[in-house]
Amino acid sequence: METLSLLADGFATALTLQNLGWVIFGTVMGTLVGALPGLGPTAGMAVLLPFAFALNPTSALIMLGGIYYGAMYGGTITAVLLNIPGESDAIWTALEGHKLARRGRAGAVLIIAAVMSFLAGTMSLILLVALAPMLADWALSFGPAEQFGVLLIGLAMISGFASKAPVKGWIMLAFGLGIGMVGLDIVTGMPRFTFGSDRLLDGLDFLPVTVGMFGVADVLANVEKNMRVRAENKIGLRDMMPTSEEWRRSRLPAARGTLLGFFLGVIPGSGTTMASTASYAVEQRISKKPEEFGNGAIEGVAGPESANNAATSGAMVPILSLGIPGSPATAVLFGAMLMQGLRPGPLLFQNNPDVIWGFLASMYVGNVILLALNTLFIPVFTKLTVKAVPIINVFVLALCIVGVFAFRNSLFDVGVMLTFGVIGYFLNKLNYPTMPLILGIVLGDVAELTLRQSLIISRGDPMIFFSSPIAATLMTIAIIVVFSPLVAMLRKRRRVAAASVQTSSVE
Amino acid sequence: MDASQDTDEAALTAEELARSASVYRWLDIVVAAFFLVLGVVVLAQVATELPLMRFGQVGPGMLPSAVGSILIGLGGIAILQNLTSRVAFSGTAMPTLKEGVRVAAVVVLLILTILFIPVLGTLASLMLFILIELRFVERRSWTISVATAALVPLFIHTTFEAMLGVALPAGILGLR
Repeated sequence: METLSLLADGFATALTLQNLGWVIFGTVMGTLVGALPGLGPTAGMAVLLPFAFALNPTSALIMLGGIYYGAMYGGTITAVLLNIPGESDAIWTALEGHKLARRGRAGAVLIIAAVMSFLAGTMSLILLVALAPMLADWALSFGPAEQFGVLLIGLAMISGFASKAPVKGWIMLAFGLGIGMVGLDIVTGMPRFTFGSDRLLDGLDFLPVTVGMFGVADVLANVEKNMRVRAENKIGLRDMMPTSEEWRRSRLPAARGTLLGFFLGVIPGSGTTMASTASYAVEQRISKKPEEFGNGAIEGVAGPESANNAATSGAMVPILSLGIPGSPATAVLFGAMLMQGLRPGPLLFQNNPDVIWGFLASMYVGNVILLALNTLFIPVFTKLTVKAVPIINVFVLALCIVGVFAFRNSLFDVGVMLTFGVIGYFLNKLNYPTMPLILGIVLGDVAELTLRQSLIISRGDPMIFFSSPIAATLMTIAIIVVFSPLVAMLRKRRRVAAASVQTSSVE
Repeated sequence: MDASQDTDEAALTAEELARSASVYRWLDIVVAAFFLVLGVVVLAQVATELPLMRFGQVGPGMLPSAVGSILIGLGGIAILQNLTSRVAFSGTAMPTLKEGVRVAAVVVLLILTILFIPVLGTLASLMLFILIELRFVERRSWTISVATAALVPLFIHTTFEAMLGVALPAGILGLR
């Protein structure tokens, strides 16, 4: 009952004229950044972070959240119509949806995707509201050692599993932690890695680094490709109505995708791409007509689209209840919370209930708005996307420059942003995952603080990390997660060696 | 609707793939070497300025020493993996000379824009950047380039200066 009462208060906050305006702004921007090729939710959120800084915490979270889940809807438009998955989680929608679009079913596919995304979003929000406060209550009993264990698990999962090359994931985490250490030491106040520069005493702020790594780096990649988009087909109203057969075939895949997506989203490092991929694989595996997959199967759109939307709600569970962002977009949200003076984690529900419940309620409201936007306004968004492509690069770059400057009135920050934009462009080319880097920056301080607090409490005895059952369990899981990629690599190498010995003995 | 771009990853020829793989490997080595050197710099500063322990407690050098060690160790592994061809090429298209020049041109234009902001002012610098980038780098039409160069700074003035009250840097000529 208490949860329902808090949620009702949240709706009262989310439905004020001001916050409703920010939900609409966020969801429209989210749909646009999702629809625009080469610009994803993380880049969209990063570019609009300076705006968020000018708002109150509730409105800032509502606006950024709207961009995040709005982009999941918008990504479908380019995937189906242009065969360009704006984000990697839309590859299955592009694969199946575009084939259906070429048969004249573009409008129907987009309607099904929007409705199933809405249902998935609504269902997963109910799960989020039920699960996050419970987990937060449990996490309230954590001391510094347990907190460090949780952080270590999150960082290890994201670094070890975020990329096909765990070595690169760990390098990026170390790089991020290193960037986070620039400035004054949080405990002793000693300057670290400032190289005598006064400007660096405040540290390298999260905002210019994030805007550079996501916004500028993405634009540089777009400039490299020099994308041209041309409109050939128009969607007529008649094409927009799905048949009853299409509805029937979409229902169960959407339900399975919702559950799968939500629980995969909860796991740090899995993200929306893993959710949509897992859903696609399940649908293909259990389909009575698996040969249709790859040739335009509506199940291959309904399942993954529901899964990626549900995963966005799932990803909110660890950040809101444990203070661990599980995806690049939630890492940006995490940074925005810190910028607004909020401490993401279990205390959020106790210390800032108005902010957090207002934010959760706004996700319901946002889903309703997105359903309307992505059914009634598909032709408008399609036209806007085509018109915006030629100017999007310069527009985003101009926003990045002015937004980062406005943050601290500093051209130095703009230079930092550009530097990290170039670094990010090269690292993306070489498949270095950017997520561990951002996590290293945002979580580095907290991880170091909890580590040092734990060791101060235990007078330097590292066994404090195994002193309570919860801490010992968390540390054991963390150690397993840290070493599992190494074990997997060794086992793979042994298998390959055994196979080559077998081949040579046969010869 | 259809989309096209200069480099289509799906249509990479065998020759382009071989070139991309070679560029990828060498670039990967350079980046891994950068991280290795960064690790050395971090450890050097730990050794000279940041104590590992202070007053019997963990000092400001403890975590940096771990970070430096990871960067050196994993940077070295990444270099070795590339030299022994243990890194699988993911098929990512590496930029051609033409594409690389386009990216470099935008970076140079951005640097010039940042340098010109204190002289010409923010809006005028952005106007010039947008016009040059759109017309000469992305090769859009004059109409699109000029219209965007006029409208984007207007949008920025309206949102940042008029609505959010941000004072954007004015140039020596007094222009915003």
